[in-house]
Amino acid sequence: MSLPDDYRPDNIDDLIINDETKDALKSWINSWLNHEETKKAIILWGNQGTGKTSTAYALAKFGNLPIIEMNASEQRNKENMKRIALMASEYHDLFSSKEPDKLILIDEADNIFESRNPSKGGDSGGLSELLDVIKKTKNPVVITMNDFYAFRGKNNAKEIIFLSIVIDMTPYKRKNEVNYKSFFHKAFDRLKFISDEENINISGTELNEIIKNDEPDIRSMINDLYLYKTKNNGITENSRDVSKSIYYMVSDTFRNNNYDYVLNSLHSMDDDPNFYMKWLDENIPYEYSDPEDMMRSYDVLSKADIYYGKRLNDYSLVNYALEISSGVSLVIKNKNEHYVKYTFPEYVKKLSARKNNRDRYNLRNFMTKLSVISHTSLSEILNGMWFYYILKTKSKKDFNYISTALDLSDEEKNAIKK
Amino acid sequence: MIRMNISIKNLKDIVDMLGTVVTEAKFKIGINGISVNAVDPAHVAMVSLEVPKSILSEYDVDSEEEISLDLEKVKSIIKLSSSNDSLTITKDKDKLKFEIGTIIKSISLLDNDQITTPRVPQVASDDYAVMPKSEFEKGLRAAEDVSDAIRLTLTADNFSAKSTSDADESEMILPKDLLKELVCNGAIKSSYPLEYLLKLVKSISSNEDIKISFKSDYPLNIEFSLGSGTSERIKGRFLLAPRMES
Repeated sequence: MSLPDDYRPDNIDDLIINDETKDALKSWINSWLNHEETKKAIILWGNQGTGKTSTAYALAKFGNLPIIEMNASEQRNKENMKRIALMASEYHDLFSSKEPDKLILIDEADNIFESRNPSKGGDSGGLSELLDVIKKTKNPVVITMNDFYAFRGKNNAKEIIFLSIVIDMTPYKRKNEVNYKSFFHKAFDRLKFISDEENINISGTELNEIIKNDEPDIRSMINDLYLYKTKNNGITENSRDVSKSIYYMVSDTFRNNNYDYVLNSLHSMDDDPNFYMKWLDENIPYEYSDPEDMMRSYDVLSKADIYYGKRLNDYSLVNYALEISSGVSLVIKNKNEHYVKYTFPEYVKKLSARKNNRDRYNLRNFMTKLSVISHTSLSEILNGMWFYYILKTKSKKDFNYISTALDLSDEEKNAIKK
Repeated sequence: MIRMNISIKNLKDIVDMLGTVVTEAKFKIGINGISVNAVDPAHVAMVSLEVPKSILSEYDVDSEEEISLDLEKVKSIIKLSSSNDSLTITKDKDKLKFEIGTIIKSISLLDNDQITTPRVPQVASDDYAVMPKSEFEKGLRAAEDVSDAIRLTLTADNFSAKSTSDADESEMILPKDLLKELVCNGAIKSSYPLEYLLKLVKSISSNEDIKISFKSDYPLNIEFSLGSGTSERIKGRFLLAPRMES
């Protein structure tokens, strides 16, 4: 058993979820226990670590019901669904005799096997059987999934959703709302409790760090806590590689003084370095109020941009751009302690807003590439655009040679017009 | 240490019977014999078997021990042999060694902690019927294409099994004189999953008798014997949860 499994809360009240969610869960399970259920199933959805499975277990504990679980480790085709979930939904449990006498958990329903292979008989699979289970069941059914919107598009999913209560397990929508505060406190208390129980020596600031690092994934938080138990050195060396959203990356860059930490999280970033720099560029004025701070941080960013621009000569230079731009916070004297809502870079927004602009952007890319390789100024190339256009239309072979040499994208090729 | 010699017929009957509910099982190898309980993942059906030492031509066990096996692997060993063979089984650290004539096969044991053994629920009823398995099987076969569930009824005069769907209906009535024994203190009826009953009767030899006991809306208890043997046999129990009636 892993630490997160050991510390699954037994009680609905101990779950780290919103109060409204708690009320909805309690009234649903109570409706079953009082034989007045209107919705037979409940769908719990949200990112990993938001407590979906724990909630199912807590619901079972609440009703004092055994759990019949179908998790992702089993093959959930039609036969298995019928053999396990449908049986459990219609027949009594050998080990208890109440009514309802068990809770059926269909874990990670977004991966249910829905084969359309006619050679295996029939064209419907696990989900049609799940729908049948929900229609016939005399026991409460809990369905968990990560991606509700992807699930919604599948066959039979509409009807499953119609027969179920749908609960979004995301603990908060934005960081500046009241739910976030309550989430943070509950997570902190829970981690503190576990570290006391397990004799893990960890400070309050370190706990804060773990929460900020992993939120809203409580399972990851507890796993990270476990790292403190097994090793005594700091979390930066042990922490798992998790790609963060660019939003938090920007926030870390502006506020976190631990340069190595910021750089490490940048290395696992999924986004393009330029996109990240555009975000910094957009948000520096919102973050810093002191003009000198602003000046210094733009200075850092502009140096990073020089290396980014030189990537056309050698792509490994992009690393320097990242390493320089992630040090923005080091030159700041007056840190901003208040909440700032970082905004999406206007530049990119406008680019995508108008196709016309996009063409101009692509054209500029083409010209820059050519100017680097041919040591020619941009204006000179612009004057000679007619030539490249003729080349493109009349001489495929030469144009292909240029486009491979410059590594032109399709958009960049299309941007070459009369 | 564990060393035993078992006839293929007995081993096959045990594995087939357990296979009606599970794919992996934990055997308790005791001084006086082997016992095994298995429950299906939905907690609807349970098989419980007692294998007495006397039906094994060789049985050498120092102390009680539990071993867990993948039944599919044992089945593949059974396929290698003919039905009147017998095989020698020895436990060698975390492996189980099977010797059939010229072939020696070892299969690895499963982790005992991974396989939960259910406690056997207290199920007892005063009302029961003993009948030839073949008669019971006829009624199940008749219901097979009608519904997923079958309703069993026991009265002082007869035993009946009925299935209904929107379109079709099937019923078997066994009057008292076709039953070997009948004890009933008042009519009882309850519905059970047909699929498990069919699997069960398939795993019992056709000339056997079975004892069926139940109450209204109460688990079904079927007692039967397996394998070959003259004085003692493998004793089996099959428990089946009743359908929830609304």
